[in-house]
Amino acid sequence: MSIEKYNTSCPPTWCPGCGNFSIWNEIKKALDELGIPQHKTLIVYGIGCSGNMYNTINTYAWHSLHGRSLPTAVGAKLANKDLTVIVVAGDGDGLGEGMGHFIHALRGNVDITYLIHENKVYGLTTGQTAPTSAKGFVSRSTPEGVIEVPVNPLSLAIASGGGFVSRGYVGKPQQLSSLIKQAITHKGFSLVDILQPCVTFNKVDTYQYYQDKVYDLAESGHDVTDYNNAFIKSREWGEKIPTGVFYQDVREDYAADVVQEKGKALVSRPMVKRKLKTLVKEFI
Amino acid sequence: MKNTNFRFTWKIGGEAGFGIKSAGLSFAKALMRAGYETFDYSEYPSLIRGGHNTYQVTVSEEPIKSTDSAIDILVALNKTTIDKHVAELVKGAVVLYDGSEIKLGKIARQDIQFLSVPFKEMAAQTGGDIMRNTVAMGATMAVINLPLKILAQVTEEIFAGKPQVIENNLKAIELGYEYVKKHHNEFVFKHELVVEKKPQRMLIPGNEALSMGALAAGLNFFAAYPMTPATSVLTYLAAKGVEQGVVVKHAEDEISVINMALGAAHVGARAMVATSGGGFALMSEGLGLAAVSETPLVLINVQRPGSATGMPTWTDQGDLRFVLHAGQGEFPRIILAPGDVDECFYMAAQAFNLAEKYQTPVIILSDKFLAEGSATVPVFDEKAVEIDRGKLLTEKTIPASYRRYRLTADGVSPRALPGMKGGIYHADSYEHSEYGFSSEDMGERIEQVNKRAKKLEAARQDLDGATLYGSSKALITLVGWGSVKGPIIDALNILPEKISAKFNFLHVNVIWPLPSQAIKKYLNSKKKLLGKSQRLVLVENNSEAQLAALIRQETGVDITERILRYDGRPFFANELAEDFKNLL
Repeated sequence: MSIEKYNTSCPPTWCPGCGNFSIWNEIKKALDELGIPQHKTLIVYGIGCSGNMYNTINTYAWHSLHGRSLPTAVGAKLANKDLTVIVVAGDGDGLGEGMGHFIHALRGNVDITYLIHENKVYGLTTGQTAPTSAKGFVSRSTPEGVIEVPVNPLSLAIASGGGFVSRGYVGKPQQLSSLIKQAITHKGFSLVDILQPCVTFNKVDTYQYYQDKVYDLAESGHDVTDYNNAFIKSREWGEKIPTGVFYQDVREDYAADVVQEKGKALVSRPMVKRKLKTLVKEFI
Repeated sequence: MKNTNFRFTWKIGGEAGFGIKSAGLSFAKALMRAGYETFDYSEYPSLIRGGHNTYQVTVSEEPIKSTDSAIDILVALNKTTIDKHVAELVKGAVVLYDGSEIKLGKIARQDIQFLSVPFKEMAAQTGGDIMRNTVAMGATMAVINLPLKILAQVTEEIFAGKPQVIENNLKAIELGYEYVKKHHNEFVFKHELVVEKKPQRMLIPGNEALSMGALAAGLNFFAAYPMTPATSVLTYLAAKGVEQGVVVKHAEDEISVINMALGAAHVGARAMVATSGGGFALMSEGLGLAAVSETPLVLINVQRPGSATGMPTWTDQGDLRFVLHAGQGEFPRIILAPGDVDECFYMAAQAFNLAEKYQTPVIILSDKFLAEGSATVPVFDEKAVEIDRGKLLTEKTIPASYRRYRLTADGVSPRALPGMKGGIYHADSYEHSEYGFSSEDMGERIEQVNKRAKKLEAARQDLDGATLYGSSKALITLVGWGSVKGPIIDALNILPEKISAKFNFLHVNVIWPLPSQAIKKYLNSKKKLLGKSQRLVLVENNSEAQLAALIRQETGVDITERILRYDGRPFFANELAEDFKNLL
């Protein structure tokens, strides 16, 4: 196994102990183990500490606008279905600024993989609350504590048509790598929500906090095809925090219903001038 | 010799839902088939049922690109139509109405004729109230004394495959036609119309012409969110998607729209988006991303009066400064502003080549007047469309240690596409190095800013964009951009030659990079003509004379005389002709 080839000349810039290092490694490992050629991979990054992974993986890459990584990935996949398209985004990026796109991407079920770094805080802007922060979370933008309740990306995903809904934790790298691989392999939109401590700006959701609480759904006999139970499991948060695949179905992906997507990838067809003869007919 | 100013306008009005638009379109098509030139214009509020709708068609023997506010034939499907539009009628005009439904009462116009036709009763014989517009169409053909069979043929084409509907419609137009022939045979229309065989032409509105230009140029990815008056670009392309192999995505909002299109363009699609000002506002950040990532993208903004929701179904040219400056920071963009339906087609096709050649966003500025007004034009020439993908690499031509944002003489760097072996690169919304890695280095920042700016200078050399119509010796130069072209040229054609000869018209259809050299040349050349200084008059469909400000900024030429219109209506040729006369 060699993941060296995925490194670039740019080293990561995260704080020592940041959960992003683990995600970075597991993405490279998953790509390597699946044997997807680097040039056939497009990773779309959001903006934030998560998005700063952009410089450090040697595949085709697009560094999007804050919150806008999903639509870009959708457009890229529809235009070139031969690419493996992965989105790396943060929970502020993807569930704050980009929340609308998340719901609609789930509905659409385009065959891309969405990796959310859930650290429940804004790191790159030095410590403000995230949409995933618990009620009462004290941050530099909420000195009296967050008033809102947190969003639950897994419940939202299941409710919005998500066909592969999972949660990983950076403290369980083997499981994380396996989830990323399953997500990439899944035909349709796949979500891996990744719990990831921010060692600098979040003193609540720490490694210590998660370590004894997380458990693997696969080991508890969870049936990933049971929609209702998946929803119940997605709401479990406290002394026990489930990880693994919550829900998976075999709904056909977006392209399966698009006639234009049949055959060669859109961009692999020759680009020729279109004949106007049939087009002008209705105007004559 | 024929009177070259032969030009009349027919108008139909009624409640939304009365088939006003379909009646107007078949009238225009029938007249085109008879050998005439037509231009359509419709007014309607932003609702589906019950509001007052009108559709008018101006007819001429010579090519036309605009309409008039003076009406020669008014078809009134309700009383409101008469009340609202009686003042627009010219002396000697004729009104077709149903006397059994509409009591005329006191109308202070003795110089017009009212011809009653029992629309309602005849409609009842052929399928009910919804056929009143159809009966009225037949009556119209009798009034202008053209053979009914021209309209019958158009009707059969519209309803092809629905024999019962065709039968009802044919009967309806015949009843209307015969009624006028029988009961109003004393009426003689002021123009004698004759059917003449002419080369095949099209009757097509601006939005469809833009869409067809994009298709001709190889468009294969289109995303949009519905917004009046740009929606018909989406619906037209959606209808053609399967047949033409274009992926069409109605996305959740305009932010998603532009980012989806960028994703598709990044991997090599010819991608386009279309919206109006509000949607364009949401796309602003994505516009800058297209420029900094050097991704080719075509954006259509079909303007309507703003700000905010503004007047959705009306026309305006208020977005010139907006699209020129939209987006944070400084970056190159190309802005095209087609002046008529022909230019819509050819400039849309050209936009894709420019976008790929300069790897930057190209904006097409249209407006409701141009977007929805159908005009008769020669059939578009696909031979005039070329596909030029610029410095696009193939796997075989990718150099070793490839640098996507390599510094080059013209600022354009050879472009690999994701999926190509040996071309891996990072496309960045941050400032970046030649390789595309994020960079905050002073030197790299300056190099990349300069590199991107160079592309605009190269594009400037590549684009015309300022055309002078009329004699270069005219005393008064009218200046306008985009869709004012039609009304200005038509107004000059309406005027007697001894008046129109005093004018010429500088039309600007490339807004950015502004063709400053050409503009300076045209606007200064006649300074000493007959010892008089050249008069410059701006004609613009907005309140701030945005083009005048831009021309002054870029050339120092100050255009102080202005004809501005910002009431949501387009310039009407007959009114402009009066304005021009008053300048003398």
